[in-house]
Amino acid sequence: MATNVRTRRLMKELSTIRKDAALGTLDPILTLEPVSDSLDTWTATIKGPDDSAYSGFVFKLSINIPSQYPMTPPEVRFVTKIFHCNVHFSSHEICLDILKSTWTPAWSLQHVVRAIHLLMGAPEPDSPLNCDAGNLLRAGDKRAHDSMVRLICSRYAERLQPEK
Amino acid sequence: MSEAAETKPRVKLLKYNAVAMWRYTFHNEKCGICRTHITQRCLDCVSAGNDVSECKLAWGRCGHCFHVHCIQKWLKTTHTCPMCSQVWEAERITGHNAADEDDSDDEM
Ligand SMILES: [Zn+2]
Ligand SMILES: [Zn+2]
Ligand SMILES: [Zn+2]
Repeated sequence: MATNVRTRRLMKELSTIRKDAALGTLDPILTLEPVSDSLDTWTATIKGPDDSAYSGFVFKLSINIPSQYPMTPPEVRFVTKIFHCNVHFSSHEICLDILKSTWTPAWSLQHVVRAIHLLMGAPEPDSPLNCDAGNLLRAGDKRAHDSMVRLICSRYAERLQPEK
Repeated sequence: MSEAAETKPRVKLLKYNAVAMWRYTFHNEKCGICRTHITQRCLDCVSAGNDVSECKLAWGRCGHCFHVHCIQKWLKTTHTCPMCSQVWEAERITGHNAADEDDSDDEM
Protein backbone atom coordinates (compact mmCIF):
# COMPACT_ATOMS: atom_id res chain seq x y z
CA MET A 1 0.00 0.00 0.00
CA ALA A 2 2.15 2.83 -1.27
CA THR A 3 1.17 6.08 0.41
CA ASN A 4 -0.47 8.01 -2.32
CA VAL A 5 1.83 10.19 -4.42
CA ARG A 6 -1.26 12.06 -5.55
CA THR A 7 -2.15 12.87 -1.95
CA ARG A 8 1.36 14.06 -1.17
CA ARG A 9 1.41 16.32 -4.17
CA LEU A 10 -2.02 17.73 -3.27
CA MET A 11 -0.80 18.42 0.27
CA LYS A 12 2.06 20.43 -1.21
CA GLU A 13 -0.37 22.36 -3.38
CA LEU A 14 -2.57 23.05 -0.37
CA SER A 15 0.31 24.43 1.65
CA THR A 16 1.27 26.74 -1.25
CA ILE A 17 -2.33 27.93 -1.47
CA ARG A 18 -2.42 28.62 2.28
CA LYS A 19 0.84 30.54 2.08
CA ASP A 20 -0.47 32.63 -0.81
CA ALA A 21 -3.71 33.26 1.05
CA ALA A 22 -1.76 34.46 4.10
CA LEU A 23 0.39 36.72 1.91
CA GLY A 24 -2.69 38.05 0.13
CA THR A 25 -1.45 36.84 -3.26
CA LEU A 26 -4.29 34.45 -3.98
CA ASP A 27 -6.40 37.15 -5.65
CA PRO A 28 -8.58 36.86 -7.80
CA ILE A 29 -9.15 33.52 -6.11
CA LEU A 30 -11.20 33.97 -2.94
CA THR A 31 -11.05 30.37 -1.74
CA LEU A 32 -9.50 27.13 -2.99
CA GLU A 33 -9.73 24.17 -0.64
CA PRO A 34 -10.52 20.47 -0.40
CA VAL A 35 -14.06 19.50 0.56
CA SER A 36 -12.87 16.57 2.69
CA ASP A 37 -9.69 15.10 4.13
CA SER A 38 -9.44 12.66 1.23
CA LEU A 39 -8.55 15.59 -1.08
CA ASP A 40 -10.63 13.95 -3.85
CA THR A 41 -12.92 16.92 -4.30
CA TRP A 42 -12.12 20.60 -3.99
CA THR A 43 -14.10 23.79 -4.30
CA ALA A 44 -13.00 27.22 -5.39
CA THR A 45 -14.58 30.64 -5.49
CA ILE A 46 -13.30 33.33 -7.84
CA LYS A 47 -14.15 36.94 -8.53
CA GLY A 48 -15.49 37.83 -11.94
CA PRO A 49 -12.70 39.60 -13.88
CA ASP A 50 -12.74 43.37 -13.31
CA ASP A 51 -12.68 44.14 -17.01
CA SER A 52 -15.72 42.03 -17.84
CA ALA A 53 -19.48 41.80 -17.44
CA TYR A 54 -18.87 39.23 -14.68
CA SER A 55 -17.28 41.90 -12.48
CA GLY A 56 -18.85 42.29 -9.04
CA PHE A 57 -19.98 38.67 -8.80
CA VAL A 58 -18.52 35.55 -7.23
CA PHE A 59 -18.37 32.20 -9.04
CA LYS A 60 -18.05 28.80 -7.49
CA LEU A 61 -16.18 25.89 -9.10
CA SER A 62 -16.04 22.22 -8.21
CA ILE A 63 -12.87 20.26 -8.83
CA ASN A 64 -12.58 16.48 -8.97
CA ILE A 65 -9.12 14.98 -8.70
CA PRO A 66 -8.71 11.86 -10.88
CA SER A 67 -6.77 8.88 -9.52
CA GLN A 68 -3.89 9.49 -11.94
CA TYR A 69 -3.47 13.16 -10.98
CA PRO A 70 -1.15 14.98 -11.74
CA MET A 71 -0.54 12.83 -14.82
CA THR A 72 -4.11 13.55 -15.88
CA PRO A 73 -5.88 16.90 -15.47
CA PRO A 74 -8.42 17.71 -12.73
CA GLU A 75 -12.07 17.78 -13.78
CA VAL A 76 -13.41 21.27 -13.20
CA ARG A 77 -16.87 22.67 -13.69
CA PHE A 78 -18.77 25.72 -12.58
CA VAL A 79 -21.22 25.26 -9.73
CA THR A 80 -22.62 28.73 -10.34
CA LYS A 81 -24.65 28.96 -13.52
CA ILE A 82 -22.89 31.24 -15.98
CA PHE A 83 -23.52 32.61 -19.46
CA HIS A 84 -20.19 32.14 -21.21
CA CYS A 85 -19.48 30.74 -24.66
CA ASN A 86 -16.98 28.18 -23.35
CA VAL A 87 -19.14 26.90 -20.51
CA HIS A 88 -22.08 24.56 -21.11
CA PHE A 89 -25.20 26.30 -19.88
CA SER A 90 -26.79 23.21 -18.27
CA SER A 91 -23.92 20.89 -17.38
CA HIS A 92 -21.56 23.80 -16.50
CA GLU A 93 -18.72 21.92 -18.22
CA ILE A 94 -15.76 24.09 -19.22
CA CYS A 95 -13.99 23.98 -22.57
CA LEU A 96 -10.38 24.88 -21.85
CA ASP A 97 -7.33 23.34 -23.54
CA ILE A 98 -5.29 22.87 -20.36
CA LEU A 99 -8.10 20.77 -18.89
CA LYS A 100 -7.76 18.43 -21.87
CA SER A 101 -5.10 18.18 -24.55
CA THR A 102 -2.46 20.60 -23.27
CA TRP A 103 -2.48 19.54 -19.62
CA THR A 104 0.92 18.92 -18.07
CA PRO A 105 1.75 18.09 -14.44
CA ALA A 106 3.59 21.41 -14.21
CA TRP A 107 0.16 23.01 -13.79
CA SER A 108 -1.36 23.12 -10.32
CA LEU A 109 -4.94 23.51 -9.16
CA GLN A 110 -4.18 27.16 -8.47
CA HIS A 111 -2.93 27.65 -12.06
CA VAL A 112 -6.04 25.94 -13.40
CA VAL A 113 -8.37 28.18 -11.42
CA ARG A 114 -6.42 31.26 -12.58
CA ALA A 115 -6.70 30.05 -16.16
CA ILE A 116 -10.47 29.76 -15.78
CA HIS A 117 -10.55 33.31 -14.43
CA LEU A 118 -8.62 34.43 -17.53
CA LEU A 119 -11.03 32.53 -19.77
CA MET A 120 -13.96 34.39 -18.20
CA GLY A 121 -12.44 37.68 -19.29
CA ALA A 122 -11.25 36.40 -22.67
CA PRO A 123 -13.92 34.09 -24.14
CA GLU A 124 -13.05 32.00 -27.20
CA PRO A 125 -16.18 32.13 -29.40
CA ASP A 126 -14.67 29.79 -31.98
CA SER A 127 -14.98 26.74 -29.74
CA PRO A 128 -18.35 27.38 -28.07
CA LEU A 129 -20.14 25.10 -25.63
CA ASN A 130 -22.82 27.77 -25.35
CA CYS A 131 -23.76 28.58 -28.95
CA ASP A 132 -26.00 31.51 -28.02
CA ALA A 133 -23.14 33.24 -26.25
CA GLY A 134 -20.72 32.33 -29.03
CA ASN A 135 -23.04 33.63 -31.75
CA LEU A 136 -23.53 36.98 -30.01
CA LEU A 137 -19.76 37.44 -29.70
CA ARG A 138 -19.07 36.34 -33.27
CA ALA A 139 -21.73 38.74 -34.50
CA GLY A 140 -19.92 41.49 -32.60
CA ASP A 141 -22.92 42.17 -30.38
CA LYS A 142 -20.96 42.56 -27.16
CA ARG A 143 -23.65 44.76 -25.70
CA ALA A 144 -26.37 42.11 -25.99
CA HIS A 145 -23.90 39.49 -24.82
CA ASP A 146 -22.91 41.46 -21.74
CA SER A 147 -26.46 42.28 -20.76
CA MET A 148 -27.31 38.56 -20.95
CA VAL A 149 -24.23 37.84 -18.83
CA ARG A 150 -25.36 40.30 -16.18
CA LEU A 151 -28.91 38.99 -16.22
CA ILE A 152 -27.72 35.44 -15.52
CA CYS A 153 -25.19 36.69 -12.95
CA SER A 154 -27.78 38.66 -11.04
CA ARG A 155 -30.07 35.63 -10.98
CA TYR A 156 -27.57 32.90 -10.05
CA ALA A 157 -24.28 34.37 -8.80
CA GLU A 158 -23.53 35.81 -5.39
CA ARG A 159 -22.53 39.43 -5.24
CA LEU A 160 -18.96 40.21 -4.29
CA GLN A 161 -18.90 41.59 -0.75
CA PRO A 162 -16.82 44.75 -0.42
CA GLU A 163 -13.58 44.08 1.44
CA LYS A 164 -13.51 45.08 5.07
CA MET B 1 -32.53 54.93 -24.93
CA SER B 2 -28.84 55.65 -24.94
CA GLU B 3 -27.72 55.36 -21.38
CA ALA B 4 -24.54 57.12 -20.44
CA ALA B 5 -21.83 54.77 -21.63
CA GLU B 6 -19.88 53.38 -18.75
CA THR B 7 -16.34 54.59 -19.10
CA LYS B 8 -14.61 52.12 -16.87
CA PRO B 9 -10.84 52.22 -16.99
CA ARG B 10 -9.76 49.15 -18.94
CA VAL B 11 -7.25 47.68 -16.57
CA LYS B 12 -5.46 44.79 -18.27
CA LEU B 13 -5.51 42.41 -15.35
CA LEU B 14 -5.39 39.49 -17.78
CA LYS B 15 -1.85 40.23 -18.73
CA TYR B 16 -0.73 40.51 -15.15
CA ASN B 17 -1.88 36.97 -14.46
CA ALA B 18 -0.30 35.58 -17.60
CA VAL B 19 3.07 36.97 -16.54
CA ALA B 20 2.75 35.35 -13.13
CA MET B 21 2.21 31.97 -14.75
CA TRP B 22 5.16 32.30 -17.10
CA ARG B 23 7.45 33.22 -14.28
CA TYR B 24 6.54 30.01 -12.60
CA THR B 25 7.57 27.90 -15.60
CA PHE B 26 11.07 29.36 -15.69
CA HIS B 27 11.50 28.66 -12.05
CA ASN B 28 12.77 25.11 -11.91
CA GLU B 29 14.21 24.51 -8.47
CA LYS B 30 11.35 22.15 -7.87
CA CYS B 31 10.48 19.14 -9.97
CA GLY B 32 7.54 20.40 -12.04
CA ILE B 33 5.82 17.04 -11.72
CA CYS B 34 5.88 16.14 -8.03
CA ARG B 35 6.73 19.66 -6.71
CA THR B 36 9.49 18.44 -4.47
CA HIS B 37 12.75 20.37 -4.49
CA ILE B 38 15.16 18.71 -6.93
CA THR B 39 17.77 18.28 -4.21
CA GLN B 40 15.36 15.87 -2.50
CA ARG B 41 13.83 12.51 -3.38
CA CYS B 42 10.73 12.37 -5.58
CA LEU B 43 7.38 11.59 -3.97
CA ASP B 44 7.47 7.99 -5.23
CA CYS B 45 10.75 7.45 -3.45
CA VAL B 46 9.44 9.14 -0.30
CA SER B 47 6.46 6.76 -0.37
CA ALA B 48 8.63 3.72 -1.05
CA GLY B 49 11.26 4.79 1.47
CA ASN B 50 14.06 4.68 -1.15
CA ASP B 51 17.37 6.34 -0.49
CA VAL B 52 18.08 9.64 -2.25
CA SER B 53 20.91 7.94 -4.17
CA GLU B 54 18.32 5.80 -5.99
CA CYS B 55 16.46 8.86 -7.25
CA LYS B 56 18.32 10.39 -10.19
CA LEU B 57 17.64 13.66 -11.97
CA ALA B 58 16.95 13.96 -15.71
CA TRP B 59 18.02 17.18 -17.44
CA GLY B 60 16.34 17.98 -20.71
CA ARG B 61 17.94 19.76 -23.66
CA CYS B 62 15.39 22.54 -22.98
CA GLY B 63 17.07 23.18 -19.61
CA HIS B 64 14.33 21.76 -17.41
CA CYS B 65 15.03 19.18 -14.78
CA PHE B 66 12.86 16.46 -13.25
CA HIS B 67 13.27 13.37 -11.15
CA VAL B 68 13.86 10.46 -13.52
CA HIS B 69 10.99 8.59 -11.82
CA CYS B 70 8.62 11.51 -12.41
CA ILE B 71 9.50 12.25 -16.03
CA GLN B 72 9.33 8.55 -16.92
CA LYS B 73 5.72 8.40 -15.75
CA TRP B 74 4.84 11.46 -17.80
CA LEU B 75 6.63 10.33 -20.96
CA LYS B 76 4.34 7.28 -21.07
CA THR B 77 1.52 9.59 -22.13
CA THR B 78 3.22 12.54 -23.83
CA HIS B 79 6.73 12.95 -25.11
CA THR B 80 7.10 16.63 -24.29
CA CYS B 81 8.63 18.60 -21.45
CA PRO B 82 5.89 19.39 -18.90
CA MET B 83 7.35 22.86 -18.31
CA CYS B 84 7.80 24.17 -21.84
CA SER B 85 6.02 21.66 -24.10
CA GLN B 86 9.05 21.18 -26.34
CA VAL B 87 9.77 17.63 -27.45
CA TRP B 88 11.59 16.03 -24.54
CA GLU B 89 15.20 15.12 -25.21
CA ALA B 90 17.15 13.98 -22.19
CA GLU B 91 20.59 15.56 -22.16
CA ARG B 92 22.02 13.96 -19.06
CA ILE B 93 21.13 12.00 -15.98
CA THR B 94 22.79 13.06 -12.74
CA GLY B 95 22.69 12.43 -9.03
CA HIS B 96 21.32 15.03 -6.67
CA ASN B 97 24.53 16.87 -5.87
CA ALA B 98 24.66 18.17 -9.47
CA ALA B 99 21.60 20.25 -8.71
CA ASP B 100 23.47 22.99 -6.85
CA GLU B 101 25.97 23.70 -9.60
CA ASP B 102 23.18 23.95 -12.14
CA ASP B 103 21.18 26.42 -10.07
CA SER B 104 23.85 29.05 -10.66
CA ASP B 105 23.65 28.50 -14.43
CA ASP B 106 20.04 29.65 -14.39
CA GLU B 107 20.79 33.12 -15.73
CA MET B 108 22.43 31.87 -18.89
ZN1 LIG C 1 9.62 14.80 -9.17
ZN1 LIG D 1 12.52 8.96 -7.18
ZN1 LIG E 1 11.44 22.18 -20.89
